[in-house]
Amino acid sequence: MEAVKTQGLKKYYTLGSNTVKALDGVDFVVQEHEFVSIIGKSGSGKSTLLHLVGGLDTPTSGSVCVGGKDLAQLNKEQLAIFRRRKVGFIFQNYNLVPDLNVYENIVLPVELDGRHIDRELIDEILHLLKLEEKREALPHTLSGGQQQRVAIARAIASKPAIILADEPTGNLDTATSHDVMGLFKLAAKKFQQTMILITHDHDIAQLADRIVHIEDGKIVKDGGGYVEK
Amino acid sequence: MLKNNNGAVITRMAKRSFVSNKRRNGIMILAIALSMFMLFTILTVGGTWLQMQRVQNIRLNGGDFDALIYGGFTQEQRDICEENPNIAYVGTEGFAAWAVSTEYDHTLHSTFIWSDELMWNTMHQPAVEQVRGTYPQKDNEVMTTQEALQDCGLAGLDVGDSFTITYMDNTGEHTKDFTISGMWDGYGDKKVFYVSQSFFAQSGFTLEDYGRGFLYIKFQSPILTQNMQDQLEQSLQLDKKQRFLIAVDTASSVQIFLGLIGLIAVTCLSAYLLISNILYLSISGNVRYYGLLQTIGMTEKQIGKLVQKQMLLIGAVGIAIGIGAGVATSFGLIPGIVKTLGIREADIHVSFHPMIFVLGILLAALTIYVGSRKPAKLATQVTPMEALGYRPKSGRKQSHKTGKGNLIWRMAREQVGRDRKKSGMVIAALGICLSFFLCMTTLIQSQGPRTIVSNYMDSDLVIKNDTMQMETQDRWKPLIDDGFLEELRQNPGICEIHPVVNAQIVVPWEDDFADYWMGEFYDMWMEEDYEDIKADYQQHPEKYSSFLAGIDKEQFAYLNATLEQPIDETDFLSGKACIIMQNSLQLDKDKTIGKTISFYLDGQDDQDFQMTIQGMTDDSFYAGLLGGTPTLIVSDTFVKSIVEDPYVSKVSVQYQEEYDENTEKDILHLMESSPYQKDFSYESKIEEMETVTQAQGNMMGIGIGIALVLAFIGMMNYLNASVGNIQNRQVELSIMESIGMTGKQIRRMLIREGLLYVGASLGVTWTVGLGVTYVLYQAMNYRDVPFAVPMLPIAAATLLIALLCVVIPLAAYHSMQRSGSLVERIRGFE
Amino acid sequence: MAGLSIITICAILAVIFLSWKLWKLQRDVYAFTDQLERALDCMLSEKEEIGLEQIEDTLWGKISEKLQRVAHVWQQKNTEILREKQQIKQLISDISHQTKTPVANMKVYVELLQSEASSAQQAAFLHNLERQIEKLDFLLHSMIKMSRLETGSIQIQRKDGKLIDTLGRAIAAIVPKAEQKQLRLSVDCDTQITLFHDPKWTEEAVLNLLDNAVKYTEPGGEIHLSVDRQERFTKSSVRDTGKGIAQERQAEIFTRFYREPEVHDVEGVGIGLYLTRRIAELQDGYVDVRSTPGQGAEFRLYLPNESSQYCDNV
Repeated sequence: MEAVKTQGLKKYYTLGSNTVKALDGVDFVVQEHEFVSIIGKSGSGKSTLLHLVGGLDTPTSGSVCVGGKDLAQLNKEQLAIFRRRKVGFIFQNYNLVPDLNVYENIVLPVELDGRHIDRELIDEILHLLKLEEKREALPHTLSGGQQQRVAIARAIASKPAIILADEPTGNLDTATSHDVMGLFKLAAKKFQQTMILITHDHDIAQLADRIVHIEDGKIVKDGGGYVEK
Repeated sequence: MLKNNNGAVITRMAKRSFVSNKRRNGIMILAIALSMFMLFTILTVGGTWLQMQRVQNIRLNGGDFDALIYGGFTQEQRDICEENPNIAYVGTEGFAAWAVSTEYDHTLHSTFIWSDELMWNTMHQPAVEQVRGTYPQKDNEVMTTQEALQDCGLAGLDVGDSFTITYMDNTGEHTKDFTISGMWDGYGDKKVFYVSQSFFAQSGFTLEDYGRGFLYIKFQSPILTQNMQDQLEQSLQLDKKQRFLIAVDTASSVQIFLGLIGLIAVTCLSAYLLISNILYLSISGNVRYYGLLQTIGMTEKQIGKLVQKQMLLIGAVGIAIGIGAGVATSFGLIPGIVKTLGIREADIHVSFHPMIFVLGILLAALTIYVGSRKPAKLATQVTPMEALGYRPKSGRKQSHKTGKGNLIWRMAREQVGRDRKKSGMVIAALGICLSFFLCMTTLIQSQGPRTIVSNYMDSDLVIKNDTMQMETQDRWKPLIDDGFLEELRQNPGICEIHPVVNAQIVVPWEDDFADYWMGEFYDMWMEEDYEDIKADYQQHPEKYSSFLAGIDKEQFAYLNATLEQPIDETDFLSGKACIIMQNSLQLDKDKTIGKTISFYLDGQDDQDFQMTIQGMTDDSFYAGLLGGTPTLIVSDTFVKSIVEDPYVSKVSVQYQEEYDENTEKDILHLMESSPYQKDFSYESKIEEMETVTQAQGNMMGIGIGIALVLAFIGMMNYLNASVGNIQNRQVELSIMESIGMTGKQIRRMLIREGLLYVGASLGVTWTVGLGVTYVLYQAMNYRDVPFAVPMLPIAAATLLIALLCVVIPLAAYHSMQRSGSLVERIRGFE
Repeated sequence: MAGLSIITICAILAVIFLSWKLWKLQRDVYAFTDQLERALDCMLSEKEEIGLEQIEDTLWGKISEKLQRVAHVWQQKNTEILREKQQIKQLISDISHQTKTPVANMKVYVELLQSEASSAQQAAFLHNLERQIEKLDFLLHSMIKMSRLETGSIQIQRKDGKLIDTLGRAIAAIVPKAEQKQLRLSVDCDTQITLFHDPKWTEEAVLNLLDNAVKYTEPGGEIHLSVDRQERFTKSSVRDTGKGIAQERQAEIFTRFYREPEVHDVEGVGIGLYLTRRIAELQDGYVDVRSTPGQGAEFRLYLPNESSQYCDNV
């Protein structure tokens, strides 16, 4: 079954008098347990694609199906519930809740859904991402790499249908980037997560099973060969 | 559907943010605590005042009633009262007899009164402290007090004892044996023998007789509007002799009540503004946070709950602190306030009715709820995209007028106008506190002039000859003679004196005015009917004598100015015209003005004088003893021309310098050194002023206290807004600095922003605030004193606020500047 | 008085409110269990979509999402297992294909060698070799058969037929072995009995029973095959006079690769009885054994008389 499937996905923004075509007809499929990276330059529409798949934004036209659900049929409330159950996000600037400690941040999406917390799983994730020591720490006391690892742990902990990562290493230096991405891939494989990673960095992108190139809102190369258009 | 049990995490997050946002929460808790404190104090004062008022009235009147009909009443009137939905119940009392004498005492002051069952059991009860025995059932039984017995020389008797007393009722004098069926003690008139209904029935009096029947009324609600009073009075169709008397404070309670409600409203409003503003700022500054929560799957409902729970925590803490402070201070503060509101009981019992707590908490909770509803909605409407750094498209396009005006002023203006709602709230809060201050000071400062019935002609001292209150001229003494007047004139501190000279006159009966006057006068003031005494008056008019009051030119000018239609001065001075004292009668102008009145000096019926009545006045200053016939105000030269050395009843004295205490001391000394020193009395403006000032001082204290609390809340609002504002603009300001705006220029811009806020708040104050003040002022302006605003305190307050408004943003900017280098600050917030 | 009535009214209102709450709660719990049951039914009948997932912030929303996830995992596992089975089937058919020819060739070459055997010793070796090849052939065939049965790649094809024909073929196949061991074989069967069964695999099953009897019966023993039509099943029983089976091992003998510990010298791979049982089960029948050690054993194959009604469930 496909974890993600988009059909004719378009997203246009109106800025003043001119229209910006952030996405212009994207057909894109991610299989379950697949690790796909989307690579493209800044402004190529890759982030927009991620936002649409994550239900953060609504498309101008076309459809997005995630885990068999058509996002167009969900209202704002349902989208929020959809996100906490089916999607894990990892952002460039970590986006941790400042008032909550590491452990609480990680279990927040699970708790928001009122679900039972699988402590063993959390311990395993913490161990895997080398965060055991930082369990009780508040986010502002952590380094960038540590914060991003917490964000990864948060994305995995709710066992979502898909993890969406938007330039997760954008704020990290090269050494830390590789460290974090290594752990990320390890964790994702171990917990059999489907993943979409967005980056402009080929070094990071090649960790994926499949690489999709996007340019000017269109997919120009998917996996092996360039897409004819 | 079964709800998802995911509330725990929201509660935890609310608690965390409660702990971590110390500044914001501290300010809100303080605001709520202060408001709660104010609400609590206001409500407690209201409650205590109402209760003390009631106790005081009950003790004063000897019973619990709000109004009474004096002058007898008919059964229909009683029925009307009983049917009126605003009236809880009515009680009646009948005057049965006077005590005349006992074998031990011949000058008795006690009376025999019958109280109906409801009157005794319900209305009197609160004023009765102890009672033994029962209310009389038989003719020869009485219920009385030790005081009444003492008055009759019967001290020491008790329940079951008997005594003999002579009394007088409508059928004449009787001597009878009575048994004491009960004794009571308490408040009210105690020289009373309460008797049975059958005793009253035999007395020959009926409840309809003037001065014999009394109808006591208890209203449903403690507050009775003027409108309801008027309606009731109208429906009773009272005749001329009947009086509908409202316990004075029942009427003024409406005012005090409205005042308290107004204060509550102002408190709630300013608390609302502050809470709403702080939350609004804090949420709009935390768009990223709320968007992030939505991104990881918090629903709108959950975010709404989060904000609600935060407010619940803050509110609970604030309310608790406020109530604690309220209870702690009430014991000291409240009795003082209640006393200034006119309660004279020495022992003020502060009432903490549970309703006060409930009402206070409800009001505070409502304020918090209403204040946080809109900001909470704002939090739920944040979209995840906004949180990801996609700036919301601003709907309002800013017009940049270029070229005109000073750049820095323009930038300041744009800044204030950027978020109108936020600025509006800050301005409203400041405006409210300034307006309140304006209102308080204006009302309190003018309290004296507005309410004090000041001396005649606004003179500093009025000296009176008390002997002139005696009924006949032969007992008058020449206290204020030429020598005395001369001494006053000699005093360098005195600017002018105006004596009033008097002479006793007789106005013989005639068909026209004299007859009309006497009819009206007897209708209004006397027990007897005019018809009964008409013949007596015609034959012996000297028994109904009255007075001439002679006034000088200046006094005439003053009096003439108060008349509805000024009269001709030459006529008056030459003795052709006079002004009559109205004695509160509603005289028909057609039957009065222009009529000729003739009179002669008492004992000199051979020489008649005639004058035209050209005006009438109700100024009691000129009133002498009520003889029956009208008192005439004429020119003093006229009086002096017909009487040699007329008696001076009053002298009004004007000092060179107002409130000159030395001069006053001299005059008092002069009076004391007079051989008739005991017969002098005087009314001193200085002394009156002292009592007023004392009352004012207390009110000023309370007023300033309230104004300070409100000002504090208002300033906190401004403080929060401006600190938040500077923080939000940190990047912007730093960028400006980086492109070459000097710190001085930025400070100048901030100063101008502050001044704009002050200016706008002053605008609100001088329009809305002044308007409200004017309306309130006129509503309480009993003496038509011109409206004036005390400039000095207002100016001081304005300056203070202006200073704070300028200093606060500067301080915030200063602390921001120290927070790091330019580059760090530009990066500070992504 | 007024206070009391206010309290009473409040209490009544509270009771009404609480009853209403309770009623609502009860209704919701019932609705919840109802939905849960329906979802579980869907999962039990292995439908692809349980079709009840609700994206809403309620307990049911939460649980339904999990159920959907469980169903999905289950579904996935099933497909995976099926795929693996397919692979094994392929592997087995490959093995059988690849080994048939070499074994056949080996047989041919052994026969050629036997015809040219120069010495007695050589002939003895060759004979041994032939036997080993036959054993290998048998083993391979058995394993192929078994795996086909296991993976479901064998389709039981049942049709109405006379049981005696099926049994006859099995007896015919065993007679040479029985004669070799000098066993007495007797059959007692009503020739009119017809049965809805798969003749080929039933023959195999009976043959296995007979083969087993032959193997474990000492020379000179007796084997008796009897058929008995009962009310629901037709019983075919094979009784021998062998050494019998110990009580505690009677349950084990039907498992795969089971060999009696004392009889390792006897040829066989221990899948005959297992196959028999599978065949019986595939035809909605069963197999059991009755034995007293030292007094022989009786294996009984029960096949249903009218099994058309059960057919659909297979």
